[in-house]
Amino acid sequence: MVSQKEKYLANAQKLIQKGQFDRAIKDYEQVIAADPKDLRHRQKLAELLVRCSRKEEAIKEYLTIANFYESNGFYLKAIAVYKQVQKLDNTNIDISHALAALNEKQGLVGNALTEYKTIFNYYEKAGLTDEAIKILAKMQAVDPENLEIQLKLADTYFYAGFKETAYEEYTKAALILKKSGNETAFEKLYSRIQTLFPAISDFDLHLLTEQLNKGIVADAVQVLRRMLISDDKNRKVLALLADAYKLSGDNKDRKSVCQTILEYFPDDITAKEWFLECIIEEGDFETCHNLISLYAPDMLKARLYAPLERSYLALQLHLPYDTRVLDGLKALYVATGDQAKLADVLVNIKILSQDISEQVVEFPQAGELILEINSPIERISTDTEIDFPWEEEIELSMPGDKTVTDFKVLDISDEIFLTETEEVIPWGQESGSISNVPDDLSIKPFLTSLEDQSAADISDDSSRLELAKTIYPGKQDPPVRADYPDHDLLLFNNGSGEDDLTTGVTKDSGKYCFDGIFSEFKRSLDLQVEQGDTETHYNLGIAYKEMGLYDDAINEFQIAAADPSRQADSLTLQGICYQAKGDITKAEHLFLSGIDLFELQPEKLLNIEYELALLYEASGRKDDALRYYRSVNDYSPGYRDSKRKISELNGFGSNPHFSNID
Amino acid sequence: MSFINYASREINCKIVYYGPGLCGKTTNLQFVYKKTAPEAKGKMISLATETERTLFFDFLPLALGEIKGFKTRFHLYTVPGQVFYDASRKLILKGVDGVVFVADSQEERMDANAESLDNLGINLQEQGYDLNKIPYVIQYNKRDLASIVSLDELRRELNPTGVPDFEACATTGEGVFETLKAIAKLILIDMKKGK
Repeated sequence: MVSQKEKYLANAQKLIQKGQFDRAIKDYEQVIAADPKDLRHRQKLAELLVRCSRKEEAIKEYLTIANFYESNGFYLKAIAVYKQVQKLDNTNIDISHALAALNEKQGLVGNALTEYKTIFNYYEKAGLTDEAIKILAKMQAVDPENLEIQLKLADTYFYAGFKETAYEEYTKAALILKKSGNETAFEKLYSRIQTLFPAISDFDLHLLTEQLNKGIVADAVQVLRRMLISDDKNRKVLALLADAYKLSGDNKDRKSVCQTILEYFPDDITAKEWFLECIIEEGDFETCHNLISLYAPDMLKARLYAPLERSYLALQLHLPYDTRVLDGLKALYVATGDQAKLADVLVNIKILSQDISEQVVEFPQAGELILEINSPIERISTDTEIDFPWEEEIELSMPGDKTVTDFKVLDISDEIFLTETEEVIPWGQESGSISNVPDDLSIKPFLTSLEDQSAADISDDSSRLELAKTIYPGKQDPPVRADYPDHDLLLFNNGSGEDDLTTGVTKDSGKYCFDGIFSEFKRSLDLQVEQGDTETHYNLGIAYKEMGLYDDAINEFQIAAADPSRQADSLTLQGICYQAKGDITKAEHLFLSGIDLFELQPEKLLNIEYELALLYEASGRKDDALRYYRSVNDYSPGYRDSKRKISELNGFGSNPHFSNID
Repeated sequence: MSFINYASREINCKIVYYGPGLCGKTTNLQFVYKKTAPEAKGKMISLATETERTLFFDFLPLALGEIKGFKTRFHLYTVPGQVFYDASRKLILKGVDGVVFVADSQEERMDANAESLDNLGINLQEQGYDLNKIPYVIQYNKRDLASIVSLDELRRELNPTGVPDFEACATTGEGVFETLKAIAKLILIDMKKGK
């Protein structure tokens, strides 16, 4: 039995064949009325309406179809229908909106941009600036690297009076040009930016910073100085100029700039720190110390600990024996609560204060050392049992050195200068008794802990002897060094008893010494090596790794990993360090994350997979190891010794011919 | 032990400049750094105490050519010469590929040279190395000074096994690169033998 719908459709077909479209439309209208979801026949109806030039009605039908497709996720079909509508009415901005949105959803960037451009032109023509800007913003989101859109957006903002936003967009465009290496276009745009925005901008400073980073210092200095003519209180310009002078090694001008900053911005901590650096560079340590003392209370109050510490440590490098510096550091570490550093400082204060109280040796700032007359050291007998294996350290104690001339010769070799040479009595020539040296010369730990300070009283000759014995363990008398006590000893030495005649230091003290030296080394290194110098951090990582200082190596590799070219290496080496530390889980985690990260870079991937296989093998996970060795060998047959490893793990010894056998 | 980085195709070799205090180890590195093209060298780490003594170690990374597609990087280290830094010296010797012993040619430093050489032997032994087996050269530094020991005597005292040795004046650079080239060559030959 033929349905009513089929009768309408059959009749409509006949009418179309006869060219009676208006009548056919009526039949299709009946079909659609009976089944509104019949999109195929609604489409036919729309086409017939177009044929009969009934455009509005056709659009209505098309839109019904398009909406249905869109709401049911058939975006490409919806786009095709909307395009039909757009052909009928190209002024309908809503259709362009719909098409733009649908194309964007489908990732059809070019089509989406075309539609947005139509809409933008419409709004711009109609004077609807806000709407036009919104469309440009959408276009920018679709294609963020599109310079044309970026500039159009900037222009539109500018002419709409949104100057600040316009400036941001112009600079973004300029950076796109810079990134692409199009210097000519960049300079043209930069010139336009300067014309539109004559005041000094962050962008100018950003560019100058880049220039400085590339080492083009002289030009940058010229520009910065010109900038200051129009705006002499610009903090950013002044700071950048100080940086430029630092890079060019012009300490005098840098200092002058710092003074200017402090004149205008007296509370500027960074400028204060820089100013102190300049003064240290000049060698005016006394002024530097006075200034730090002046700045310190406010800096402590404001909890600006890091810059204060940097300043003190920089000064300490030049005034290692100055208790005022140590007192400053003490106050700082009390404030920060850093017990370890505080302990170091307290030990050094103790040692130094006792040395000074004896008035045996003065510690002039220029590295000259002066022996005082009747120094207790001179009265130490030669028949005690302390040995001095390294005579370079003990020039003044050499037997037979009886003349002043002898001393001078030795002094020159070690850059030591004696002032009252005629009064100096060489080692072996007693000028007094040793009555105050105790019979018991057993070596006691020297300041083994802060709590034990009282037990390590070195304020008399006996305790000084003990100190000397701790530093120069042996059987003979302690040496009398012109440069004694050495800064390094003061900072790092701590004996604990057991002699090690071979090395000249006690075993425990060696560890203590090394820890102190290493922490001092790292502190100084921080001043020399910038965080951004990833290659140096990488090299230091390798150095520490070789020495077995794995934690420090890991730290360096973590910093080095910021460099994309060193990322894979740094990650692998961190893994190797963790493995060496015995932290297999962490090592495995690092290697696995490396495999994810460098999936598409075979050279790096192979190495990480190989290292992971080694790790698994070492930790007894043979199946896992075999899997990764195979993966490596499949990709690059014979990579390193993967064939041999596979053969071994398969139980066929080291013959690589068996690598393919399961 | 040379460290091979397969991912970045680099071979890292470690050369340690050993010798008594103030014999010119740091000066050697400074001269190498000064005369090496910027692209072939990394940042030189050299920290000194107030008395111009090396703090922990000096460090200079160099990239010197290629072997079979692997970039050869030499890491040059110096040790602190003073006696009480023995722990540092032992640590720096870990993983060493070659040693340059820098001797001070001055008469009054001969004992210090001998002491340092003994110390080198002992420390290497502790790390499982044999001075007679690892790449090793000697440099007789400060040949420009007045009161120096003759070359024959230096050789007799410090170089009984006849390893390659060089006269040098590190401050002017004489003999510095000859020494470096010799140790680098020995290391590479040693690596080749090992493979």
